[in-house]
Amino acid sequence: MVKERKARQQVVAAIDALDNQEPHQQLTARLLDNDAAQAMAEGVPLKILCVVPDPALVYAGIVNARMSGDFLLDTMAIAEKKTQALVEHLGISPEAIDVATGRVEEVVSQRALQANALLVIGNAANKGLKDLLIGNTAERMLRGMKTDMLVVN
Amino acid sequence: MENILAVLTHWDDAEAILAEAEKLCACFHTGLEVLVPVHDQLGELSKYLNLQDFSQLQAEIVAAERSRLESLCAGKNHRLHVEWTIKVHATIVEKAEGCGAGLIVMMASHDPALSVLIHTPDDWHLFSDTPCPVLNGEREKSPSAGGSGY
Repeated sequence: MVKERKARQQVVAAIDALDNQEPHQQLTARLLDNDAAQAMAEGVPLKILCVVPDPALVYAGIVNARMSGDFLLDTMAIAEKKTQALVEHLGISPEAIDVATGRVEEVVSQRALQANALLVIGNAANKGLKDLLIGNTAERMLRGMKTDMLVVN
Repeated sequence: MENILAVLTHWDDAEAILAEAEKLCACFHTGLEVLVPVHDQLGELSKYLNLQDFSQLQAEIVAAERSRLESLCAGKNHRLHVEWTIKVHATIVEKAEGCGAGLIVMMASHDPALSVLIHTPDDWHLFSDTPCPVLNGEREKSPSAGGSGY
């Protein structure tokens, strides 16, 4: 959003398809609505990105052993299926659905940067001590922000 | 969506933010409200410093900011607001609610590390309280770009 900025080439919506809680699913629906509207307004393709946190990275300890590949692949397959169902339910036609794994904020930021995209994320605020100590994914992404971000709550 | 609220927190980025907001207004067929929050850096301290001309100083700063905003938006039919405030995020939320904004467009504040450590950065407060989505522009890093513009 600076004067010499290159035109955006994509709108990327980062969602967590694995969270089954009602408020989170409502947030995802709002996020995708905004995502689709922005893509239409900008005349650029819409992509949906779902990052499955790699448990081995999330709970990395002295021995950073990776979790069973089958478990991770199964989880990613579930995420893809749920994202597809959500997209169909909302009547959205993204150019691509991308399911990846790793540290959520890193993967999302890198993918958005590679595509020079507007990143659309949801802000499900943590409360109390969890908020104080951990914050949320949106906040962590904001710290390392590399592209424009649309934050939906 | 009735309106889009463009928030100008740094004059360096003002043209870019305005251009972005105008583009979105044209796409979504909405009105544009432009807010310049003037952060009271002294905050509560101003009560204790016995600055006799503080209110006059305040009025002069607001007038100067308004004049700058009017020249930036000359010939355009935007609704302009300049607000003196202690809490910038609260003023943005209030203005967004007041004008029925469906989207806030602004530059990310990029608070300094010490500020992040000591208190929650302003953007995070805004994300928690905002009534509508916030489009945060990424500020181009420059040697002079330091802390929050608030």
